[in-house]
Amino acid sequence: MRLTATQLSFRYPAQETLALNGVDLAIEPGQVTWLTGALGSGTSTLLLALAGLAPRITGGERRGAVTSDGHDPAVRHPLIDGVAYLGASPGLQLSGVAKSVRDEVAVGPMNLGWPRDRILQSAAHAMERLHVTHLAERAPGALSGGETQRVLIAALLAASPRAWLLDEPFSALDRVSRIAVGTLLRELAREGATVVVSCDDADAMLDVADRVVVMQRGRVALDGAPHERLAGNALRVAGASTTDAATIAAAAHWDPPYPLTTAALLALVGDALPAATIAPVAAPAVDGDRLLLDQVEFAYKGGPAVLQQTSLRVGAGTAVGLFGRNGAGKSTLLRLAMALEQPSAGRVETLGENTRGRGPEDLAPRVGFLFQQPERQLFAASVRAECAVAPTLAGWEADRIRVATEQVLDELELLDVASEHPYDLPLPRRRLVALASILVTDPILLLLDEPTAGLDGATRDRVTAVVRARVGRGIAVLAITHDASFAHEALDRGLHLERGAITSDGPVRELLNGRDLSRPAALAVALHLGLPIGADRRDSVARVLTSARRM
Amino acid sequence: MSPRLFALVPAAVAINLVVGRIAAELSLPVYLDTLGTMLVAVLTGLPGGALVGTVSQLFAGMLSGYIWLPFVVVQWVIAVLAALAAHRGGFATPFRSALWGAACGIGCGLISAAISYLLFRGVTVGGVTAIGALLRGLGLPLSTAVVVASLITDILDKTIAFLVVGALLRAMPKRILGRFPIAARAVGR
Amino acid sequence: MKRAHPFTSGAIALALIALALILPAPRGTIALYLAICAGAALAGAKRAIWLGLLVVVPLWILLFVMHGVLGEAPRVAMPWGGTLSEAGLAWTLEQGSRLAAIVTTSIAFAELFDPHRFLQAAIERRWPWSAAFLLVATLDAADRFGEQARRLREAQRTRGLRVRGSLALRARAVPALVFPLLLASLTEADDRTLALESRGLTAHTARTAIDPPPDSILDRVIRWGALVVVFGVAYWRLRG
Repeated sequence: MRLTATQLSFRYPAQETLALNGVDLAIEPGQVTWLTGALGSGTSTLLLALAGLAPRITGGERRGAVTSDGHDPAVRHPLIDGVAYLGASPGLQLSGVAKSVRDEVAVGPMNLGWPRDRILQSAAHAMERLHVTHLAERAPGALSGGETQRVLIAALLAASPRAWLLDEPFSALDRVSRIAVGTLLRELAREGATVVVSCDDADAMLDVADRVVVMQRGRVALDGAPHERLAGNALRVAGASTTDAATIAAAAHWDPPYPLTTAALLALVGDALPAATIAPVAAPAVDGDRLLLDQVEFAYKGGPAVLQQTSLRVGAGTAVGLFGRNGAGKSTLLRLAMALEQPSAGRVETLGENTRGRGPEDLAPRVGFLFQQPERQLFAASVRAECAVAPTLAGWEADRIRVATEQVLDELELLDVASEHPYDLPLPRRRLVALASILVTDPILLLLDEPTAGLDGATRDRVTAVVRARVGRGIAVLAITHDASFAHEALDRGLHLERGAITSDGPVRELLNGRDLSRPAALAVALHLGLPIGADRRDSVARVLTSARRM
Repeated sequence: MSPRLFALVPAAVAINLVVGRIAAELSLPVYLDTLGTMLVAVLTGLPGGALVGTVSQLFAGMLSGYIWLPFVVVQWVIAVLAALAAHRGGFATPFRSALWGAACGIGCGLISAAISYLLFRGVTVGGVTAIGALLRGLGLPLSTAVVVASLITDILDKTIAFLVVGALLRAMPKRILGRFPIAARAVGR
Repeated sequence: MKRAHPFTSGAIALALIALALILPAPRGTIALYLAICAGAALAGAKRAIWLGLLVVVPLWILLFVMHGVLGEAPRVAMPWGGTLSEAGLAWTLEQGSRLAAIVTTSIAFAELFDPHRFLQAAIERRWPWSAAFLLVATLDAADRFGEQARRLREAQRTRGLRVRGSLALRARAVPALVFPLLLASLTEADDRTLALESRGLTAHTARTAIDPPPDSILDRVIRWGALVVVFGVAYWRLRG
């Protein structure tokens, strides 16, 4: 199926700016086309237009032409036409009418009216290819984000589409699943399908894409071979992000072509360093525990023990990461710290006071808790008003609130949208608003649950910088994360939880070595060069590499 | 049924149920269990609102008995008044929202009272019946007691509900207003 | 009951509700109520009996007060010195048993209702897809929003929101606890519509029932039987 856009322009309802502004593009079958660009560049909108869903379902105006195999997709139905579209938020894509994963996967063929046997066969085959057969009898609502995403892709596959339009299909997947799905997409392209993926993660697409199309402000800014383009500066200039290794090489002021993988980067780095380039790093001064758990035991009502005899301390000015598989007890730890739950045995002391008999409203505003999908708690009509919620509840006077709000909005680069409605902002900025609303009361303990999940690279960097800055000022941080890059850049210490018990406790970089997390390039280089802890983050590594390129 | 209603109606019915539960958990003297019906009526027009109301009543039947099915007419009255208020810019200010809410309350109260008196002789679930019994105890005839009790509870509930809906509409993000052109009229633009 | 065709339990429930309205009260309706309780217990919906009582006992009390205590003359003297309305007591018994029968039937039906089996049956019988979809999707949405409301309440509490205290305090909590749900339902409607559309759930096509529940002879006999019984009783009442 050949997809084309000719002078395509599109405007969403009641928006002044054009989301697409004169796009000319032809997408061929048999290859994986990778769409990328800065936030708001139009990649998601282009996918919707190619699927025929914009403006038919989204509303708005379209100018120019879109064709799929010569016809206008807007007058046809994607499923019947053989077009598979996957939106960006996995949780909202589930049908809501399937009792099991198998039924969920069979929804597409069911709606096509295929004979029963063909449906069951196709569903089984699709589940196998996505490695979700073991989830067949589970309820779709009870899956993790990553499992949901794989099930959704299987559901699309079961209907045997000829074209795939996927918006951030890797966002909830761990490294292993990412590689598996990437391989699947290449296979599908080889089998003759047209595959178009919008993705912010260059490392994930590096070995998957045959062609990269970079969008900027609604039009095509760059179009070419991925390896070639990623190794140069063009992507960065256009506002898109390149691979981790290339980013560090660029930051070290090397000349292009940049190495694209960590291995390639290490091959170009000398083995020894002049001693003077390694700056001594002072150990952080720990002064007082902000959080203390002492032999805590906990079980949810009627369930098995989630935490058994767990003890931990988080001191001021330290950032601790909690790692472990789903169900290991990480969220429970955070909830106990915030007095959302009470331990069945043992003691939890937050900010020096026992949480027994207290609730989260007693700990606010000195403790800040960032939930997963924090944008769901926003309800004010402007960003500024949202930031005023917590301090108003804490009884601050108007002047103090105003000053604190301006400061936080400045720190998170939200001043330009301070009067906008949070829901009018793209998702990553909405998340920043949620973060701002928690930081505005200047809490001295931060409890963060997956603070960088689903964010684009630039926003992730901002969150990392903000957390690091706060830690430097003496704030204590306890964060759950699967994001290796965030863990390496923002956290000092790592705790691994397994079945409710802490199985390791040490510098976070030891945890990042050899677990299911991918090793950030900065860490790999730091270990290769023997840089001490504290001097191994991206900025320091880039500085060291400025003179360390092997000729 | 338009594709959008496939997503909106289930969500709106869920809103009716869940917000009603929140009001009960906060021990507020109002039901607030028809916000979904009102919102969809305001944003997509009468048919959508009436559909939400009907499905809601069917669901309420699963929780507390299908005997109360006749009260679906009250949901339709709410949909009509919410759609009408939207058409006339009734949510442009809190005062206007409250007025239209009171009007809705009167309509609902009268219809509720009629159904309650004629089919159930004044005994239905909730505080309405308790108030009715109180008034009866003070000497009012049954019919009057039922009407007064219904009017009191419905005018209070619907006025506050319309105030909440109005506040939401006036503080709506642009991208939602853009998707629901009727909503702009509702707030007087 | 679990193995029966979904339409069968629906037919039985409708028939029982019709009977509760047609049968002579209070003797007929009391007998019906007891039969319903027995049936619910046998069908595996014992919980419905208790949930039914939870709804109906307050109604009995209200009926007793509104009509028994505060009812019209003629009144009957009571051992403790007061009087109760004769007609009111009769109505309390009549309406009370009728309500008990209908409420318990409704709740038992809800307990036994399997939305997915129902959807498969509806697809097989070519019932209107929109209606069947709405029913099932609403159950799913109710669960999702319930969860969201719970998590939202926790999140707002961590920002300092108090939910206990004076009426004014509790009322002030309403925007924080309610607005995000309302906004979410509207903003997510768009994403969900796109998803439903792209997966073919909004199309008017002929669908295949993957796992249609078997419709045995017994099922059909019960359904027709229920209809016959209702008409029979109605006829008998009209005659006598």
